[in-house]
Amino acid sequence: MAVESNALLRVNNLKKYFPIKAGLFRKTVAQVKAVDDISFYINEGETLGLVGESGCGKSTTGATILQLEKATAGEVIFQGKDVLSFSKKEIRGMRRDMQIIFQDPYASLNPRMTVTEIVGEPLDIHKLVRNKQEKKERVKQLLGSVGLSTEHMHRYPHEFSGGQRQRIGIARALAVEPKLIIADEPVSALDVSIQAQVINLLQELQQEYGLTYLFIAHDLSVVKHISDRVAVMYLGKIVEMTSKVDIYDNPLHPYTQSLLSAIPIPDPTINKERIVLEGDVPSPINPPSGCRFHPRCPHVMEICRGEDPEFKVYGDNHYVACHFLDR
Amino acid sequence: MKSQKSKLGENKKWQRLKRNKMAIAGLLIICAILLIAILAPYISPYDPLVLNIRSRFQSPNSEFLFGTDNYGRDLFSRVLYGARVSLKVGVIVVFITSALGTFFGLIAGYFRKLDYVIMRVMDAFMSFPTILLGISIVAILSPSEMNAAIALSVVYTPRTTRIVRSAVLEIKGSEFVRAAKSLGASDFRIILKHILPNCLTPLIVQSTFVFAYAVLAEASLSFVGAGPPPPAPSWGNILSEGRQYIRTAPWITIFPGIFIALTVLGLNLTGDGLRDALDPKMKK
Repeated sequence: MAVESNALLRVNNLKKYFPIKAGLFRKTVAQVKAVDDISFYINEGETLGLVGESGCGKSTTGATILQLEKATAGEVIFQGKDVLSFSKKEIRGMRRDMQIIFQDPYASLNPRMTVTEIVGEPLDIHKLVRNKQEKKERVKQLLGSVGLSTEHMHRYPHEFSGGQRQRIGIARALAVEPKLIIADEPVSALDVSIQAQVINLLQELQQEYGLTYLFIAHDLSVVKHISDRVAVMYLGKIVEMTSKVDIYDNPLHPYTQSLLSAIPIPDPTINKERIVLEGDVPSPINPPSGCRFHPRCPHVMEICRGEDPEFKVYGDNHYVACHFLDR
Repeated sequence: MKSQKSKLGENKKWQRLKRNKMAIAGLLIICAILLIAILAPYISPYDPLVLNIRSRFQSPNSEFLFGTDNYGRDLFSRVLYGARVSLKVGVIVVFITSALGTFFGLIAGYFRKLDYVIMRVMDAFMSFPTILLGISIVAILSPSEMNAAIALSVVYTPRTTRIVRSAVLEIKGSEFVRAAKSLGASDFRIILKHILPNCLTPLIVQSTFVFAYAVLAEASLSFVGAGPPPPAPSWGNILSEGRQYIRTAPWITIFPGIFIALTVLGLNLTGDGLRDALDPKMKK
């Protein structure tokens, strides 16, 4: 892949297999190939949207980059250093630069901690404040930047709505002044009316603090709004990655095309041609040979069954893995 | 502000507990027994140890409320004093099992490598019949109040460990623990600040049941002579001594039996009530 000079994060051939253990001696009998050899990069200050249906490995990708899951193979190069080779101490230091916002705002906040304790925890962990007064001031400031007021400081998570809780989670992630934030479906658990608010907040924060986002979602319209570039995942692989404009106007991979055709248009007079895929997503335990999409692909050819397509560049930074384009 | 808010939460739980009539009944029984144990020296009409051969085997009457035993000791006084032994042993057992059970449960649940070792040892302890294990330990240590408590703590620690461990496993997989990890929190911090506070509910509920088991088991140990030795009264050894006279003087066994049953009933009702009140998913 072409080397981007200003890439903040570069993921090379990342793999994450989960072993399935069975029997008396817990022998590994099979592997779930959640993430299977993916490569991408994110430039400083941009937002890369990572989309795909549930179970395709997009959340695992995020967790593996953050070392919440141990990678099976590959490289995660952040600011020029391979994160996967870091010692425990270095990983803790890295956590100041890389943060995550979780999908479920109900499960991701400790129910027995107040907002001050939750948002203040990273400040304590990384010793970013010298005393209680300073911590209080910083928490106030952080809450202010996500649109919460100081009167919320001593409340418990159950006293908030979903959108407010997600704001608390964002404030917690911001506390360490990270460079990269992995947003793992940050709005998919929220009401549609709240989704827009949270996304706008994320965009404002990006501008204010110069943040870089890996924005994971299963909703193409949400991704369209926030992303600069989009990567589409299918069954543990990235099948297409390009700029936002290209992916919506000129999708090359048949899977991307079918995904885009599923976006509803709020105009009943437009008669859209819907590409409906046959069958279900195959199991990542025993993925199809060759191109993983071939059993459901409308353009399937002989070569697709045997050979895994290469992730190649077609035009301006438009990466696709598909044999059909090489005809 | 903070105390107000947390009080509000506590109030809700208290309200829920108050609505449960059985739990309140249980709580009242426990309070009554506790009062009896504390006030025993002031409310018992006779010295529980003084022999009075002339008034042996008196059936309950106005002079001896619960009758007298084979040495002519006042049974009412002995039962009141017996409450002290039972509750003392119960409290000690609850303290030791909670401390050890929480410690081992946290370690086993959090560090999967130690899990196997710790839990197999606990399983080994659990594979012995409760009373048999208790008797053997007391036999090694010599019978006394404290040793009975130690023996029962050994017997019940594995159960508390299991409860805590399963709670830890559940909480460990939760997203807020992942969040803490992604913030760079150390294992120690995660265990202390995130996992421990969230396992307290099952631990508190378990403790009331351990208390009940301990009262019952202490009586059983005393009954077979592995509890506090006579002449000091405990419900178990009163029962044990009265056993030979059960046909001619049944009151000797009936009264301590009633008190054991009441205490265990009270603790179990309280435990059930607490479980329902503290469980945030039960919002009626």
